[in-house]
Amino acid sequence: MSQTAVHASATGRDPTGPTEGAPRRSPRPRSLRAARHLVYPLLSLLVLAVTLGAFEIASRQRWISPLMVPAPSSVWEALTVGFERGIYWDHLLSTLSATAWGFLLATGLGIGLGGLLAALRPLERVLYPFIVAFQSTPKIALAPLVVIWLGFGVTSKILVVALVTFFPILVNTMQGLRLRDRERQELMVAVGATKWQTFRYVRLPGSVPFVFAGLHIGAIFALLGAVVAEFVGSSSGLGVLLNAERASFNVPGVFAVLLILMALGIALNAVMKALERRFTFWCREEDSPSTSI
Amino acid sequence: MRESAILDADGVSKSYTTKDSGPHPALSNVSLTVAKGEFLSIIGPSGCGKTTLLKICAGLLAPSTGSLSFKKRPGPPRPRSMGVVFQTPALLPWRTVRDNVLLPAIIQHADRKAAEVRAVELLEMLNLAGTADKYPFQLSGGMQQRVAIARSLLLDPEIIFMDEPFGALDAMTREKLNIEVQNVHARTGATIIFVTHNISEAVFLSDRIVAMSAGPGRISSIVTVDLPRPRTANSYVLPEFREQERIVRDVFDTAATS
Ligand SMILES: Nc1ncnc2c1ncn2[C@@H]1O[C@H](COP(=O)(O)OP(=O)(O)OP(=O)(O)O)[C@@H](O)[C@H]1O
Ligand SMILES: [Mg+2]
Repeated sequence: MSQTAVHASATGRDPTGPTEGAPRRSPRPRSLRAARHLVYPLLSLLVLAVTLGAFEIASRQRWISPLMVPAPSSVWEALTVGFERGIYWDHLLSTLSATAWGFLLATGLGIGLGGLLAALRPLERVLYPFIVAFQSTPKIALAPLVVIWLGFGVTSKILVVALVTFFPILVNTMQGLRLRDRERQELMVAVGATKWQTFRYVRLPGSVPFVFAGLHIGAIFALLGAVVAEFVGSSSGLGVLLNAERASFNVPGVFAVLLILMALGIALNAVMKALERRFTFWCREEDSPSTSI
Repeated sequence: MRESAILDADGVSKSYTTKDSGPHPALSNVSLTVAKGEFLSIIGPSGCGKTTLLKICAGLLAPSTGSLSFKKRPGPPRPRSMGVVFQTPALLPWRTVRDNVLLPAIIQHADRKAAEVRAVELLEMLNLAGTADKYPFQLSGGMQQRVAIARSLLLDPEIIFMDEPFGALDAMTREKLNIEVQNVHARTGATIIFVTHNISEAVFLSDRIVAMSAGPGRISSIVTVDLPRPRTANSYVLPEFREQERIVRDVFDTAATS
């Protein structure tokens, strides 16, 4: 009893007071606001439901051939049965580990070489034409060659992933490190910083948003690279499974694998976004990459 | 004055070399002696070379001809003995307010413990207590500029260069910050060279005002301000203040039209 009294007097600082303020701040506007927050997700769900329903009907009525677009219910069935039988886990793990190792390799090399080139201007000048040439080549087209060199194993898959992932990371790192804000440079001269200190305290942290933009693109490319490498030649992985399902005309099975890949992509994106927010929360427009490759 | 001179610029000229239109003279034969502990303002029309002169004095820019000496030693002051406040706060956005203020100590390997104590003092003095763990993007423009001032004061510099530090702020905030700058000057005894467009700001703060004219930049006249200190918010309306302002405005106008 006395506790509620204390509570009332504490909130009594509100000029309207607890007695008058409470009814005015009735639950209606708040629930309305919450409802407004829910409107768009609900509409999205509605669109999804309508689309799935339409395909379900179209497929069952044979308006479209189930060999082209299977009924969503049969895709769901293929997916659940597949997980029950455990046919996905090995492939999922194989794709994920190749993606991860290739991505890590590319991150190490991309940031390392990017840093080196930013530090050694002459070396950058010499290598720049090659970087541009490679940057402009669709790296994914090198996948067949990599398979010829390294065979059907994990190594070639990791290498393909690293190849497609490397360049966006390298180029963004270089771009971030090359950035020179005149005011910050002058500040560092004014406080008596050495070249190394300017690098360490200004250029390096300043490049972080760029590096993360590169990593984000790289992560998405990495998954793509893994699946393509599996198409071209590999013994396990979701790409291999997808190919196998296609070969046996199991279209719901193909769609089930696509769903898994989609989930992977969404998860990857979410993780990268979270990391980016965590490390570049301070970043305003002028510090963020204007173009990303 | 000669005895107490701390900074001496002798016949300083600067011409910028531009790629397309050849050398561009920005400063021509400027000589200036600043006394120890003096508050000196530089005013003049936009583009007359105020920033150029300030940067040369601070050693951020090399003069084309002419020379500098600081405490009778040739050359600009060493970073250790000076502080610079730029037209924009120039804070490092990934560092907290405290870490921004500590930057000079880190760069110059000064005693970290002492610097941390000093940083807290300075933040308090500039009414920034409680912002130490915030990031620059969480502060208003006026607060950011005060952080920049705190940073410039960290290692108790003998001379502070300020380039229109409050140019981007509204008149009210500006007046408040000017009182704080005056306090800084009084408490630290540092020499301050202050660039501004604003005549009443210059009169309020200065011991002497250097008026520059353009084409190329040179000193057109120097006005001594003989108003008692400390000056307060009321000073602006005193007849003596108004009279000083009028004198400087006349000088400024002739400089701008010449
Ligand atoms: N980096 C540069 N390269 C070429 N010309 C420059 C450069 N910096 C300044 N100038 C020129 O030198 C002249 C003086 O410039 P400065 O910045 O010193 O003027 P200012 O008095 O500070 O002007 P404001 O009040 O607008 O800041 C101007 O004509 C300007 O165009
Ligand atoms: Mg200027």
